[in-house]
Amino acid sequence: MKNMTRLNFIAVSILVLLVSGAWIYISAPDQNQMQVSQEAPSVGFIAPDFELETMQGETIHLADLRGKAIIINLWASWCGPCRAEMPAMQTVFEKYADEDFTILAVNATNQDDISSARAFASELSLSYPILLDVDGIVSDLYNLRALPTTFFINPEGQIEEVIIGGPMAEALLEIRAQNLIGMLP
Amino acid sequence: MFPVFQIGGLSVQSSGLILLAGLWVALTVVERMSSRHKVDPNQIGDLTFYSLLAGLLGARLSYALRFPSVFAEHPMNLLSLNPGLLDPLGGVLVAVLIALIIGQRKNMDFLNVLDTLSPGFAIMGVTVGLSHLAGGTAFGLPSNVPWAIELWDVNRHPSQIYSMLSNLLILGLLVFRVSPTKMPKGISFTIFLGLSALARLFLDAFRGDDISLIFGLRYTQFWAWLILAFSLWQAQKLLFTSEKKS
Repeated sequence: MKNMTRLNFIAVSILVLLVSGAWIYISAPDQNQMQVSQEAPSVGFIAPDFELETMQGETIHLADLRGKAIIINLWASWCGPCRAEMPAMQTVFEKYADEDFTILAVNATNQDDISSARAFASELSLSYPILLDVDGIVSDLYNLRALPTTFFINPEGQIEEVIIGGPMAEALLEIRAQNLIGMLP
Repeated sequence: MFPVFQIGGLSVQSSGLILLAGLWVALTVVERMSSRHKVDPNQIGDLTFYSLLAGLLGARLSYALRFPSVFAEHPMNLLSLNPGLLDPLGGVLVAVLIALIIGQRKNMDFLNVLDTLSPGFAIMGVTVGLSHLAGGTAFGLPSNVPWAIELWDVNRHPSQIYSMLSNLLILGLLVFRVSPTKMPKGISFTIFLGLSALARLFLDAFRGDDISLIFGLRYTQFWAWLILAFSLWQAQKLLFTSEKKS
């Protein structure tokens, strides 16, 4: 700093702070930037909409569940970590049954055996909806790369978190469920 | 974008692997460059190892303290491998505390240690950008600039690449332009802190993922401005006080 005096340095610093402060003001997001309307399987986007049948033959349309806290878990019966985390999901589902909260377990039926999936659900007495993704539509929509993959969706339909792989710890599931329920109006 | 890749039947999350690889590179570079700052490489190796370990434990304990009833119900989850059960801020605080204790016990100069670690922080900055690119996270605002990348079905600012480039520039400056023998202690870290804050302040305007506001302004930019102001104040103190002394 041979050529610069302390006073010059302070003057340059103040200029930098003023210009950067102006940049923060100029680049502040407008209302359009704040509103999320795009669907994509990633944090911050609206969860892609789908309609699937459950094992019991009931049709579930994701958009109809808007306003609820939702956990979507993509799984297959041959996948060890998927099987391992199912009991914890059942516990959380039962614990928060009185809240506007649900778990949708989407079976990747296009890469699974439907009878094995049914047998597994029956063995564990899973009471949350198990949806059958027979054509792999949801797997494609949600960019499924590994099983299990879990999406945590807030009441506004926005994805809060994506967890690839498992099994998820019971504490993790419970805390995430509590956080989502805390966002209910 | 390549969030997951397969090794045989095993699915590996690329983001985590990139961060681990980056940490290894950062620690290696820091140890090799420690002689420039006249710091014993073994001492800096021990300091980083124990701080990281303490940081990891601290992050888990801090998270558990935020949700005591849940962890009381599932105490074994304290040992869970899920990174989602870590509190980054708590981890950083514990890591810094342990680093201070080790540094004091080994009579290490605090500012000198920070200077030595600075290139490692910049390498981690590059790595974080790469891991975001791999996972498709920390994405940019929609844009039609010629260098836009298609992500989540929309052409966007390559905010992850901006972040990597800015950290590479900072790294280059720290390694090739800042001479520890000619500059006062603490200046490398102050330059790293100030330039990182300036980069964040400028580049966050192009990010489209996390728009949290404070007084109608982006939260991250607001904090980056405060850190920049602190860095400039610290820089003038270091540069001109030491000049007077000499």
